Amino acid sequence: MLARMKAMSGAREYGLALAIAMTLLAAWEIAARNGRIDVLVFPSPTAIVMSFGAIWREGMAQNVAVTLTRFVSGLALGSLPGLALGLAMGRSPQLRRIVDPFIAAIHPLPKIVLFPVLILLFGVSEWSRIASIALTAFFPAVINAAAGARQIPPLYLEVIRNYGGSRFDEFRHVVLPGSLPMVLNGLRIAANLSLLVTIAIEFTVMTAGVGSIIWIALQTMRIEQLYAGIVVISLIGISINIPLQLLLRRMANWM
Amino acid sequence: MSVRLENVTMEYGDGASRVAALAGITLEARGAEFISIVGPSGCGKTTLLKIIAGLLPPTSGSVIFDKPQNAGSLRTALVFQDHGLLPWYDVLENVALGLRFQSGDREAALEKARQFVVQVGLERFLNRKPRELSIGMRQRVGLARAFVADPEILLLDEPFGSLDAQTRTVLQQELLRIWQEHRKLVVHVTHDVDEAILLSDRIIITSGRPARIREEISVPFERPRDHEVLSTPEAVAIRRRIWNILEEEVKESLCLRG
Repeated sequence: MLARMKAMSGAREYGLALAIAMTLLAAWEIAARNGRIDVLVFPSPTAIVMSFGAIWREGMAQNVAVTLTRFVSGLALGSLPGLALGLAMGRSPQLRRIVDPFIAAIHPLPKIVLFPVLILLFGVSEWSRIASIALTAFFPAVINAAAGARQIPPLYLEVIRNYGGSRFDEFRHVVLPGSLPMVLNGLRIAANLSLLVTIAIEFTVMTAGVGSIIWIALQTMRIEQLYAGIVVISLIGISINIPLQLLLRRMANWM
Repeated sequence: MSVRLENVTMEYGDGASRVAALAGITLEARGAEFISIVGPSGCGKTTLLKIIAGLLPPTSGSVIFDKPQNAGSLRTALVFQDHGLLPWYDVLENVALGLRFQSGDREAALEKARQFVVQVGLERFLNRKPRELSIGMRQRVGLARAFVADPEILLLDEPFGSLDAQTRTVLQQELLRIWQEHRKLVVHVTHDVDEAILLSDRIIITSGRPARIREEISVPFERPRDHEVLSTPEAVAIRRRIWNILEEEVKESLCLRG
């Protein structure tokens, strides 16, 4: 009964949020049509939606594919080794003492400043872009995984040994599930930073990708298309965050 | 089954900060007896159980079992003071944990665990996580996990130490009932004198840190038992004897003598 009332009041607040959003969009639309705001800066929402047709014909699908491939490759190449190293650091104080100074030295640097160095290393190629994204994804993954594995009480490892479990059992039944909430959290931060860096790179090297579409739209003053690009990137961001958040809620329900 | 400790000592730390926890413990436990070790708090009783469980190597001395370990069976299982249930697993998975490492057959382990959970009346909580259970309920699950793994020796580390008096009484009764059905060698550590009298065949009293064996007392009551035995004149006499030794030890550890 109480839970149902809570759920209903929750729905009411979400409804209100939706209503506010619709009102703001409507006000924007009306202001743009009446010439109250500069349509060169704020084209009307309907104009933005209509421009999707144009950017689609100009190869938006391919550009989304380029951006996603770049982003997912960089994220995987950076975060998976990061998670593995982080879990190992969380369980081995020696390894942690060796690796920690390097992380402390490199982590505060915004990894995008290394992009020119990576171009010198890999040339103006897809590899320099992916390496830049991977470098960005690596640090949140390693730091969160290490913190997650480190906070596991030693008692739980003792429980596994007490019942004759192996080192692998310790990992499978304690280290992995026990650090999973922090691991997923690290993955979420890594994904969001990686998307940011992906777009930033596409702004600078206008070869292909959603970021380059936005930049080209700005330079050719096709402002509706600029906004359409922003909408596409928002959708990519949302489609990364929501599954990870649902997974986190499901996997961390023991805390 | 029997286990013999020979002159087991344990010291922690190095140099000036070296602390002795156990000083030459020799004792033997055999058959399906229930032994309680009673001593002042913080005198190394948990250390002793972890040494028997093979979780800690002693500084010197040895732990000798009378026969080699059978493949696929568990020699010892320790029930931890604060239950040690894995918070990410539900009651069923926690109870099945010990079985899974022995056979590797997950389904069989879960089925056997389910039967045991039903038998001890926890079936309503099969799919609950530890955080959803009361402290007493968690310790029941901890006991179930140890019994279902069917170790040759069961080691109990103050399993009811953190419970309120009423819950403790009920769980002591339940432990007696389950043990009566699954008789096996038990080494139990406690600082609750009445609990030791109620549960044990033999009580071993240790000194304060470093722990030495001070005295050994046989508990003569018939089994099955219940809390009534604690009101008998024999129990009163045993209690007084244990208290006299413990009082001395506790006063010494608090530097109250002299």
